[in-house]
Amino acid sequence: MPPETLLDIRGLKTWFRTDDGMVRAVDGVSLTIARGETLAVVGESGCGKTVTARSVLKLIDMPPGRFEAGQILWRGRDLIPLANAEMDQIRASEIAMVFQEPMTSLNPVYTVGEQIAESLRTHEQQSRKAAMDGAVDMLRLVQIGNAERRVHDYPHQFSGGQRQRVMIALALACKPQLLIADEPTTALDVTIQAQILELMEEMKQRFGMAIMLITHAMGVVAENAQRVAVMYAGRVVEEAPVEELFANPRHPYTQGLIRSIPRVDMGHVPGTARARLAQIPGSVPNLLQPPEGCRFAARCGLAIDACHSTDPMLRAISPNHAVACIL
Amino acid sequence: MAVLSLVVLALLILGIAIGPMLWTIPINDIDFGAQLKPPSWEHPFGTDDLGQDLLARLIHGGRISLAVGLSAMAVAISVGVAVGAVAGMARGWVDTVLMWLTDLFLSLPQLPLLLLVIYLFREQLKAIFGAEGGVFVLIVLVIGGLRWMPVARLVRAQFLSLREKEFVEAARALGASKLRLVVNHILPNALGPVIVAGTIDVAAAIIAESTLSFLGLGFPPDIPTWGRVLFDAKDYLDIAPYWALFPGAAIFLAVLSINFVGDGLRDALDPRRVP
Amino acid sequence: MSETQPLLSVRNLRKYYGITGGLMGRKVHDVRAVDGVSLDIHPGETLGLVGESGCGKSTTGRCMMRLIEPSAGEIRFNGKDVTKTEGHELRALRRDMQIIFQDPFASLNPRHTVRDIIAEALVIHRLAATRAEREDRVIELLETVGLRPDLRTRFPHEFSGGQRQRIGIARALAVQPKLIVCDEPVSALDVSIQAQVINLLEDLQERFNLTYLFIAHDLSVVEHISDRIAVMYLGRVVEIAPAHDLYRTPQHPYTEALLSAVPIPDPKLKRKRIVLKGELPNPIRPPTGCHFHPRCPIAQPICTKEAPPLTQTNANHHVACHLRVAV
Repeated sequence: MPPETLLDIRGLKTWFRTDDGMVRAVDGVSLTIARGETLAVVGESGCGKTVTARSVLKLIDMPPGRFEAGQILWRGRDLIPLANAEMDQIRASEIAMVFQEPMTSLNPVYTVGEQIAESLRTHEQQSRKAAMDGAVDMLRLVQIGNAERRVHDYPHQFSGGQRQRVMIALALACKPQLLIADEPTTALDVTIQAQILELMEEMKQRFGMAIMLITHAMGVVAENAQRVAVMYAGRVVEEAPVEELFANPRHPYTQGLIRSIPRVDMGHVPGTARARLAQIPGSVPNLLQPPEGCRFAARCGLAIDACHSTDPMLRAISPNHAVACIL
Repeated sequence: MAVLSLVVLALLILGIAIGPMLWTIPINDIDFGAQLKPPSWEHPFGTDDLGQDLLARLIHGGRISLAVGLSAMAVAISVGVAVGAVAGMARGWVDTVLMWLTDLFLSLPQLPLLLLVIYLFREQLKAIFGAEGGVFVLIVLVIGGLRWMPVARLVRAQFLSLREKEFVEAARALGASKLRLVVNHILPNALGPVIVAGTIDVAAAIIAESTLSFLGLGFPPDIPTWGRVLFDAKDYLDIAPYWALFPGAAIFLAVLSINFVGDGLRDALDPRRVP
Repeated sequence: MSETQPLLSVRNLRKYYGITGGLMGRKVHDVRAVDGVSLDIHPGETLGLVGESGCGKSTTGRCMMRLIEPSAGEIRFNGKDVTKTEGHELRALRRDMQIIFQDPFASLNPRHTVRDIIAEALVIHRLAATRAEREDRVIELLETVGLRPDLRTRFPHEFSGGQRQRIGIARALAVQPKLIVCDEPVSALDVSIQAQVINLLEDLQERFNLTYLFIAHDLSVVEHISDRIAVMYLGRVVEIAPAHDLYRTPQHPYTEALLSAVPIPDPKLKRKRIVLKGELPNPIRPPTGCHFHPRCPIAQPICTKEAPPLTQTNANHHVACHLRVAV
């Protein structure tokens, strides 16, 4: 029996009203995440991956944002019509989030212990004492040395990598079933990134939670995800298990993305001609007036006339591989 | 808002510029037969206690008030930009000394100082520039000289952050001289907030001149300014409220529209705003 | 390669920043941003400079160009000591050395048009006699970097990140430099745009016989573009080697860990990862001896006492480690 589907996003459209018109940041995204799996959502800046993640927790400012269409089913229950009070029950205790900038997502005037304890007290109705002990446990769990003492430190007293550990501790304090990690390692150095990704994997095993990993780095995707959804201009263009996606990418955008990354294990051999990187010409389309037809057509080397007029739907080409390309 | 303000300001300026040609009643034409007349066709803004036509006096006064405001702003901005730019570029002890000086000026009690300076220097300047000119120079210098500090601090802060920007570094890497860096790269990017501060200074200077005139320390009584007219009107508020109302409204309109125009100007000068 | 006279030669470069404190502004500490760096860059090659944030790689690049005054050391460009040139001579030097910056938003003056930005160098160095000549040169430069010349009257904010980076490159090329310091030129760009800019830099190198110092934290990018790579850790160079050797036979334990931490976009590849403990130490109080010893998996007592010198181990391969240099 396949594991239970935790999150099922169906045809989500999150649009933003601006002075220049409606920005269709997320324009018909469907995704599912099963219990215990890591889904990577990958794409370039402005592709809508962060807005999708924030929509799940309803962390979108409305206005200017608004849900134009679609459902966000969390264990069968649609989150979109929920009132704020009900949403607060779900945030942190069922779905938690880790952000890119650990400095700005921690409150600088409270100690990290107070911040973790606060979450435990609101969501689990723990006593002040129990919550503080819980905070120490969480810090120990994310491998912050000397946790009893450091629980009384303020965010600025931690380094970047440690702050991200604190953020993870804060997110995991109430044992959520889904952790949404929005570019959790982008601001970190590569050796620290390796530490944080390893920690997230460990926590996942320990709590059996699912992870929605938002990133732009294909390397991080390859080494950490089970399934991958590639987003482009507000839509999912391809979705597949990670081995399948890298071995057999079907969407021209995915192919370009994979080929355009230099690989450290494939450096150029002296005396040979340097291999050129495959490049995707042009830049991301304007989401105020998305082009008709396939949104990638203008940058696609394979595009035919039909691509500019027909809007490709995400369709399954094998039981677990779906792609939105008419070719 | 900025466009509306610009229209109002333009009308005001147009009014005081060509007003005397259209409204030819002399400002000091004393007519005891028409004392304290409320507004009428003959005297649209009424008359004062000497029967002088208020519209004519306000048109003439507006020239002086606006001239004082603009000149004082020019003085404040020039001094402020110079001090701020030198402090921001030089850094080190020069910066420290200049900022001490700025703080010193900021902590001076302004009104008493203003009065003191005017008592001390009014006669000398009158001797050099004549009665009206002397007071004008004095008031402009005093008001401008006491209002450059916020501009200096603003410019210095802008300079300190802008000089670290990569585009400034890029210009240095190209071999641009220090003067070129300041004139071409740093100053233009620092001017946005300075323009706003400057327009606030125009407003403040008009009000400061009004205050001085109201205290009887500004221009001599026979030269009308908006503040002077207001000062003269204060004793007759109960019998001739219109006398105070018109110069008050003129000051209010001028100050408000100049402030809004400043905001608009800053936005208009920013190329990042797509028109 | 080492037979040729180096284009740029750096010896014992140091840059200390004094931290002042107290009421009188006395100097309390030195931050040793660059702590004795020596390296050579040969004509026509690309030397990669990698390291994590705060290792001093950007400071090193800026010291070479005299954008930052070095505290000590010698920098020779074509045999001439750069640290002693002033005024007119320094300006002449700046025709030979140029820099490309990381942030394509901050590196272009927002109030200047693209034409002004590119023409500035021509004005400063009087490289064009007439306005028409200047205009022709601007057009030529824009075409060289792959931008439409008719866009030259636009302002920087009207361009995308990748296009802005091209404008920055055109500005650097305007003076026909010999050496270009590329300071993280692609880190702020999206993956598909990164490849465009890297390819452009490689084309330009070939066309104009340029020499690059390529500073980046992303090892895979550096590996791709560089002929040789220098690895920095906390103000010091710990290893210099040809790019290919560095990946296949890294000798410094830090290089090993750094390489193993880089995620590779290939899910089938299972590697043994060396996850370093701890984080970058504070450069105000760097560890004694070898700066890396507190995090080093193979540290010995001698590492805490003596700083290892950069020593040649085989052709073109230099490493600064007590244990990896056979006595």
